[in-house]
Amino acid sequence: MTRRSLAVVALCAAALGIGHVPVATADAPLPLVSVQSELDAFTTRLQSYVAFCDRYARAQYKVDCLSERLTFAANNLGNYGWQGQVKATLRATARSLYAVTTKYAAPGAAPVIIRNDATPIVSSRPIRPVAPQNQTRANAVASNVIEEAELTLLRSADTSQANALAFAEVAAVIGSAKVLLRSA
Amino acid sequence: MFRRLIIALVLLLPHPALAERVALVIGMSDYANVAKLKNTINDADRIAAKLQEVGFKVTLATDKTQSELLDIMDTFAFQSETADLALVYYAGHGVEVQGVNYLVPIDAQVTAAQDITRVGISLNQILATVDSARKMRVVILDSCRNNPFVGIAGFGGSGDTSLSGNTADPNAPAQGLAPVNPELGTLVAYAAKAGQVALDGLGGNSPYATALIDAFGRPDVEIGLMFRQVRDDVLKNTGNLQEPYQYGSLSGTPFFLAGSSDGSIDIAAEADPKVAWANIKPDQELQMRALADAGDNRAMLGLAYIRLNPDQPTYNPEEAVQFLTRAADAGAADAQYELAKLYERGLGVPADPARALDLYQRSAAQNFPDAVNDMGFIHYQGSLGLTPDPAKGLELFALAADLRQPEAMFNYAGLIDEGMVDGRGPEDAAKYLYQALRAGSDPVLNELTTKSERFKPAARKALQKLLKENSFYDGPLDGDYGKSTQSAIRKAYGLPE
Repeated sequence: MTRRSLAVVALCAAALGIGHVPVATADAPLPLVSVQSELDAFTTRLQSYVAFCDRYARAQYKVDCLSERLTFAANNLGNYGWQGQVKATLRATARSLYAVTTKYAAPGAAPVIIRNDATPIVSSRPIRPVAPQNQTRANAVASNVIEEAELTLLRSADTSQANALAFAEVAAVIGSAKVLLRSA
Repeated sequence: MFRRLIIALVLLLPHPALAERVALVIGMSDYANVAKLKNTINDADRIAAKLQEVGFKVTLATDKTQSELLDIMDTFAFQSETADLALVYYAGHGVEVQGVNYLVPIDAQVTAAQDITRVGISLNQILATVDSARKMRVVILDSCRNNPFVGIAGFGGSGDTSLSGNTADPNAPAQGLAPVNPELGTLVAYAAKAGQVALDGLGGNSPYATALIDAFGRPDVEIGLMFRQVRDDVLKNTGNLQEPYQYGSLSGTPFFLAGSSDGSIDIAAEADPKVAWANIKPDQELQMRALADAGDNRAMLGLAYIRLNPDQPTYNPEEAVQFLTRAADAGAADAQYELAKLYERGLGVPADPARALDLYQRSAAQNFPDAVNDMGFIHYQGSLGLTPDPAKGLELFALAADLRQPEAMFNYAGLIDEGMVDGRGPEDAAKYLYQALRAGSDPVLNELTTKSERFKPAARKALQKLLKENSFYDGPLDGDYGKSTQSAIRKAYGLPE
């Protein structure tokens, strides 16, 4: 699983809270910080999680590592507005990735806690590997899971109030980081 | 192994708008081989002075040879790239050959009609000098005076297409210039209708120049209404013998050339048309309403913009939708695009992705650049009910880039840089990035000054090379976008440093 593919989820999440406009709902009062700053912080955090799995998890552990990190990230989100939408999607994605790991698991392989001295991040649970002979297949299925998450987030972004209010600021990302711009 | 497309957030930091206005004023009088003209230099001098007075950066070119004029046009075209409004005024001989209009420099020697293609300046060449202006392009031809090439067959109509002094019979048939069909957002104004001749005037200036000079200095008048006033003045002052005519259309951005009488309107154009249109005086809004009632699409667009400015008491998106719907139904591509955005947002009307998509598609079908770029984005992303189709998106980005849509040029550059466009390399990516900068896109400026590392070193170096070739940069071609490169990028955009 490439860094770019892992970054898909991180950057997709950004789509839901667009622009500088704080959004209030009936259930959630206007936040003290803007959606923008919340989103920036969340995106940075999520990207660091993605990078963590990419750098420090061995190939067979990457799918479950991502599952664990997405769950962790989701657990730190609120239940309203863009956070609620992202949370639900990340949790569903994490569950699906966990199922992929289960299906293609290496029998008898011991789960491990993933940590590295270069980062304070430590996996919150033992991470399970897929069997080496199943790795290609597992990655392919995981790709589909992430793609589905991406579509879910895009659909949410298309109808989100925040997106509507800041339409002109929507951009797509190609490759690892390049953006595509709507007409200004 | 995964889809490349994702959505993310881009901060679009504001940058100071430049709102520069440039004009090239040309007067040809002292012809070497054809009849000299009496008033054209006076006209050019006074037009230039008036435009300078109201804030234009003016290049005055009088009695120039073809070669001299081409050089001046090159320089002016470069200036136009970072101007919001570029205007050319031409007073001199003008002729038509096989449907193509030519301006006649003072050294033109013509023994057969086809010679003019070699010794003249075509209207298309003139249009090319203003093509890259960011918001509005205007070409004014005060040129249908008397026939410079009497007795030579092959010129438009009777072959008698230009006049100076009141020597020509304005009722003579089939004279003057040919109709033109400029791009969206470009206005070509003729002193007289196609096929007619224009009067040179009994005083020191032609009736058309006199009316223009008066109108340029008239405060509170939006440029669209100003040209209508010019037409009315000329008709009145010539006893209906001469009717100025316009081809093409002004862009949706309003300009108040002489500002406002109470100083409330900056003569510089507002970057946001919603804010700019809200500056219009109540009496002119009434005129716009009358024009809208008569089917003027630009007036409808302006009235809609006024109602989309949330900072004004006139804010009323629902009414904006009504105005835009009328203009869109009449086929106005800019109105279709603006209305599409409202349907996509659900502003002033319930969100309707299918309707939004239809409007974007109709606007893009007319090559409205913003719509073409957004359709590229929509296809690439797969929104508004479409499934993702990167190939189609790429095709539309390429088209929009060729239409000089700034964000499209940036997008296409990015796709080239990612190796997604066959046969295109870093130099092509850099060329589009450079053009996007020159076209004045704030998001592009932000991306290049804050996230240039997103482009590969080869493209970054190629852009430095282009900046150097255009005298914006004198540092090494190392792909390092430090202080000097950033400064060059801002200069290329048009900022002071």
